[in-house]
Amino acid sequence: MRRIVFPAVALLLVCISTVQADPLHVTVVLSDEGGAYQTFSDSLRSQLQTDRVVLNVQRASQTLGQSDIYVAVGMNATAVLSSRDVPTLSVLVPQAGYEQLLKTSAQHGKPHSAVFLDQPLQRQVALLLAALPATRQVGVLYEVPQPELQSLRRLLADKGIHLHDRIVGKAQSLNDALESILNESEVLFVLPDSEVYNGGTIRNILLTAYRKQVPLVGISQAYVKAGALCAVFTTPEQVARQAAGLIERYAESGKLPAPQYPSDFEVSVNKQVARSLEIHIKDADQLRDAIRRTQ
Amino acid sequence: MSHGFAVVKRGVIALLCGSICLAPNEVVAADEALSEQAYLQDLPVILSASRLSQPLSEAPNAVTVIDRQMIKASGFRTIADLFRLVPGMYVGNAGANFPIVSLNGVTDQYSRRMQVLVDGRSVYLPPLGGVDWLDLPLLIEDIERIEVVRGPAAASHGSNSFYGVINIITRDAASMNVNTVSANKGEMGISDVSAHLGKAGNDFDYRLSFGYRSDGGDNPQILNDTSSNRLLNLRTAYRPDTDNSIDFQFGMNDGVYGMGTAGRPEDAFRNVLTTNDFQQLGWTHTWYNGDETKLTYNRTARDFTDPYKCIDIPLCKSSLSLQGFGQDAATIQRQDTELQNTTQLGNYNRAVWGGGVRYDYVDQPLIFTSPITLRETRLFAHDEWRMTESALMNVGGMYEDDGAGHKSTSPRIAMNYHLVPQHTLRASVSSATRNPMMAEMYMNTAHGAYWTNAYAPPANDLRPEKILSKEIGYVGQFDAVTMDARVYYDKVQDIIMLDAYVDGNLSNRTDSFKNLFDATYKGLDVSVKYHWESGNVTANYSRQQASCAFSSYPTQYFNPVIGPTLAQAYQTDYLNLCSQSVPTNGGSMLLSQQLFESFQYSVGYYLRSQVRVTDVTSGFPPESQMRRVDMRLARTFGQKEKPGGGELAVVVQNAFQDNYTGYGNVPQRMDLLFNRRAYFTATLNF
Repeated sequence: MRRIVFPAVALLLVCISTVQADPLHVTVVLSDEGGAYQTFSDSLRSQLQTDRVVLNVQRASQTLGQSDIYVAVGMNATAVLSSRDVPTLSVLVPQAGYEQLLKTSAQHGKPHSAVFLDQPLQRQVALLLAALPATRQVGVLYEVPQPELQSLRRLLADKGIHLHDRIVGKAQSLNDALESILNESEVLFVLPDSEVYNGGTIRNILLTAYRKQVPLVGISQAYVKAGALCAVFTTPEQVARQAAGLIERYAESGKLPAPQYPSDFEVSVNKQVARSLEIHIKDADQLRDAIRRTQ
Repeated sequence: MSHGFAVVKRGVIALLCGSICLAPNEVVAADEALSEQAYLQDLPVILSASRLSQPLSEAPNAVTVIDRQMIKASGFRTIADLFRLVPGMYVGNAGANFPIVSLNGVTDQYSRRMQVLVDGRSVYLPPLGGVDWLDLPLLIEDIERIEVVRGPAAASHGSNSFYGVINIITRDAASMNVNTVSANKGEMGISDVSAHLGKAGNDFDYRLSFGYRSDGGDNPQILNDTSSNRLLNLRTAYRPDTDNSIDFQFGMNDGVYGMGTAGRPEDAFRNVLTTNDFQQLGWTHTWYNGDETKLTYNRTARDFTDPYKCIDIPLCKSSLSLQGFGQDAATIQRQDTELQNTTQLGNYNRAVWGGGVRYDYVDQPLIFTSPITLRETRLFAHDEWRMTESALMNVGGMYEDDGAGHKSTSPRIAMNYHLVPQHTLRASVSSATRNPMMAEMYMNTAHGAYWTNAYAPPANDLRPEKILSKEIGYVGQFDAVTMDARVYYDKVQDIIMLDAYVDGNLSNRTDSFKNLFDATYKGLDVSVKYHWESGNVTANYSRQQASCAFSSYPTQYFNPVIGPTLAQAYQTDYLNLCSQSVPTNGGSMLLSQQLFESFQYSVGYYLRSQVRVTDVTSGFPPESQMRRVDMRLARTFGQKEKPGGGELAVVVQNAFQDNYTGYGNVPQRMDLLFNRRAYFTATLNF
């Protein structure tokens, strides 16, 4: 991807410089400081580094300056910009959150698009199949109803895998739901529900799963670092490259494409956990190639 | 070019529109559940290097794991019985209330050559060494799993990890999600009841267990082998933040154990009283890079009172006026502090290193002239070096000063090679030392005042026993089958034995202890596990051989008067019998099967060819071959591990009444049998 986007952006900017002297104003609006937001912003700046582009970075809480296009980084920034009639590209946002926000916001016809944080379900299932091909029973836990659950169930069923689910809530505590789901599952598939999975609960979840010799498939590098077996995810740098491509298309056509999943991704594997659970897993590059072949 | 114009147009529009202003309070907060935090949140390292157990295929020794499922399926009520599921392990009884557990043969009822740890705390106690298995403040239901290392492992498990290590891991407080009461009732006076309470929270967990356990013994008319015990065990975990965890454990028990043999006035029927308690405090800090530091302090105290100990055997035997008896009281205290670090060194090395200090105190006036204190210090380091994707080297060692003048180093090196990921070969050379126990070094009693003879401290300093073990192992996986096999050759030097008639006085026999024997043990053992959807089976087999020779001679061996007799006695009673000190064949098979929705059936088969504990001399028969079958049938009700759920079960031990005999070094004991016994268990969750 890097090989394609870099020359494309460079060519675009060379063309701009020869024909049009006015720079493109891009304003990056960060939901928060530091972390992934800052990494994305720095990476986008390096992607668009030329005197034909003026890139401003600001917090969502600050007064917005004028710009040709806004890049909303995270949900807070997206929330700010969704109520404004300005061309906006949202990044580092989950699909469900983005769609719900846009549903409730008044739209005035200005292009609005996004690169989601979520991985397409097919990609997540492809990881599961590549990493743990013998799996037949997969478990999920959630507190907030997950819109994609039925799609996931169908996708897994097509591969002969049964999906078990438990709702965490008043009727069933996290511990009860966890014990129960782990008794039925060979793999616990993490869903993006921070009510269930957060810094306070992850210890109990990982230790209980480990005790029952059930691996977790996570949704980010942090999960793998904490003790999940593997995860497929997109780095802020990869999102920045995709965003740069979309900005290029916008510059060319004045249009933004439909919201989309991240096109590039990484796979991370916790080899120590795999070894301890005696799971013979391929390495991260092999898994990434295996996923790519399915797409 | 069109894109150039498009940029201009939008630029102009933006300028015309002017700036867009937003006050901070207009920022609409995104719904937390739909925010990106689920993806972007930072999480603490939970399954850190030190928390991850080494897979069997990468361990430097052969390891047998007994998990909760196996414990339940076995139907065993006592912890010692569980070791029947370990290939090559001897489990015997000096009466129903005195189990004996050992690898590589047994010298006497105090099995001194294995380390036994409960959550890292050594329960192998002075002055005699070994473990009083029934008298641990630990309920079998609180055990998460037991890892038995078959082979010397001082580098990773500390001193006295000689023939092997029994590492008992109790249930994490965080795993308690339901409260349970359970009871056993059955033949031979079996009557147990216990409660297990607990709760897991975000930053604080606890589990509390208490219970009562009682057993009427196997042969109460001949052997007073009854036991009863009250236990309490508490474990809490507090996590002030994601990087720190504080684990506190507390346990206590008091027991009443029958002693005495019918027809032996010097071993009168009486009850021995014990109290045990321990406290353990551990602080674990996880560093930003996943490395871990663990500081542990524990204190163990044990009091033992035999109110009617014969302290003058001739008088006890001859008198009808019940004279010659006195009180044997012992106070044992241990404190241990250990610092252990787990450090990831680059991508390919993981090191565990640290040190500890242990303080042991024993006051037992009947065998020691004054209280004894020893301070042991140790340093250890172990590295797991992943040389290539297929090759792993475990190298390490321990340096120890036992505080009694013995300094020793125990190195170990093991190479594991994955032929393919599912099939691994292991070759290892490991060593360990066993430091002389207090009784061996300092026991000082008059004739008949404790045991039959008088005991004097050795004239020459005892050396620690040494073992060098060479082993080739294989660990393999074939779909639902896992297999673990090894052949080994263990060379043991300087085994400490009784030095009979040490002063040459024939009329008043005085014994001492001396490094007398070398021994070699060689054998093979195999474990196979197979699981299917509704059940599993574990099968173990071991074949062992032992041989012994003098490493140095008893003090009076060359005495012209008693030397020849002594030489003959050592030859007849020890050297000639050495090969019998291990069972040639041993094995076990545990099958567990789910029947219908709510029934579970399990059968255990335990095989051991004849064996002779070393202090059972030539005048007595060895323990006969055992072919024992245990059965368990359980019916569950309600939901598993949920309030209202539970289980009813019946267990029959030695179901077909195999008449095998047990340990017996006196005539009255040598034909005693372990009779068939049945008991019911009921468990209710609330």
